[in-house]
Amino acid sequence: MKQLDRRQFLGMAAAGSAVALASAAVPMSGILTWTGEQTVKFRAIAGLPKHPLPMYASFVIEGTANLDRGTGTVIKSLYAGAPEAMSTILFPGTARSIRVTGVQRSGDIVTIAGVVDGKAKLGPREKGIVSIVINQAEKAAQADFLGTPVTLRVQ
Amino acid sequence: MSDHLDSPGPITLTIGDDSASVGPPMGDLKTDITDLYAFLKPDDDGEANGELPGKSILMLNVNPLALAPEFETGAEYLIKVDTDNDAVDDITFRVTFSPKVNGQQTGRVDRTDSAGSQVVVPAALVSFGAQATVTTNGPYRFYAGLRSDPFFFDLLGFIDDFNFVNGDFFADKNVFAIVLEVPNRALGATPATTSLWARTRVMQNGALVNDDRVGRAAINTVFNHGVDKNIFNGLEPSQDATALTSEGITFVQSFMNTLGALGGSPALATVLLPDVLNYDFSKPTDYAKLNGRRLRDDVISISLSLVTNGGLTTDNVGPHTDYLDRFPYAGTPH
Repeated sequence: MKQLDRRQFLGMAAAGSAVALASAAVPMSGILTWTGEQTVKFRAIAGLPKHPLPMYASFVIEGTANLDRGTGTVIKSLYAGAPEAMSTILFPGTARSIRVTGVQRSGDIVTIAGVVDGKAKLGPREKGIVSIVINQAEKAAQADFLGTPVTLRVQ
Repeated sequence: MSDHLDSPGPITLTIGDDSASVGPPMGDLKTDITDLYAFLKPDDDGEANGELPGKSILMLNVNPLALAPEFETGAEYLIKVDTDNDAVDDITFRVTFSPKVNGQQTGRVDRTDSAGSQVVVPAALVSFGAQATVTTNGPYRFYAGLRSDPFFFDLLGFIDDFNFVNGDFFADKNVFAIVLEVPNRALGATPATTSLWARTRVMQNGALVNDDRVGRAAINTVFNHGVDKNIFNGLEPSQDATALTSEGITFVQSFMNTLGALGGSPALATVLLPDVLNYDFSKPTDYAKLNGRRLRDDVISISLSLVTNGGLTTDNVGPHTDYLDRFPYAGTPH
């Protein structure tokens, strides 16, 4: 595989060549896994804003939750850049640490309940009580971003 | 987020058997342009000094959130001036920076036109703190360094489906500002057909290559998807009308598609492209009249109204209160 410099690439792309995103610079390390059948570890991501606007940021939810104990920690974060070009730049004031208060599993569906760490300043439409629903079969998660439901891709 | 962080991350792209890394320095915050402003000097005393027809303030801001500690050495920070409405630069103000040594960095400004190049400001200290070091050389005045970001926008509301209830994300943010006071005659003699854009160029493999560019506010952020953001940043405005996106359609067509989906008039695409900031310095500056851009101009509300055909008219935030009434105009850093 030969390497192109950016100028060569832009010339090709501007000429209408098909382009495929091959990989992101930020490693997507986490996947949905079970540890000892009772602890779920996951990472889910969604590009925002939604179509037709171009994705500008990446909404990331990641953490662990224990089914037996109903405990765990989940972090919600917003990074600059679409998922395919996500940066390590965290938008200030957007991270939320969530203390897990309950975990339920029903078939492929895992529902995690939690509360946002009291230190976080919530947005006007944002709730302190959080619900995250993970569908293992569809590799999708549902959670709120600032009060709006968002579907995330589990990785 | 006028165009803050419009290509923040490195990505690897593959075309057939070829691959290219489009990332740092392309994603370098130090050359990531946030906004371009151009306005008539508010406190102009040009007439009294016999310096007709007055002066303008050009402001090129980079380094969103001021996360990087310095300007990029070896890079070019350019304000390009087209005097005859062909989207090709006729005059260029070029700002470059020395390496940062012992906490100090200096900037230099050159002006180039068809007659040649002249040094406008040979060396000026960059300000990294609250104190603004302003350098004057003849009719020119120059500032470079940390400032309060003058841009205002409910960024989180934009990301959250236009739910504009979160307030001004940038109210407490900083940026690196390059501010230049110039006599209007340095912008040419044809104000009615004058436009500007900002461009950064970075050194890559021993050569300067295009990095970021900005004309009007938020164009790249709102209209270009994925890798097209980087492609667009690499183009010159004169290419905007015909260049193709990664999907093989023209940027004009892509803009028309987005405008149509947002409820706006597709025809607006040919107004927004080429992406330049029209600046008739013989008339009052007003972004709403597509003439320059002042710090207080509510570019987001104006743009929202245009691209949604009046469906949305405001993001519910207004200008900052920390603008200065004197050079360098952008407020004291937070």
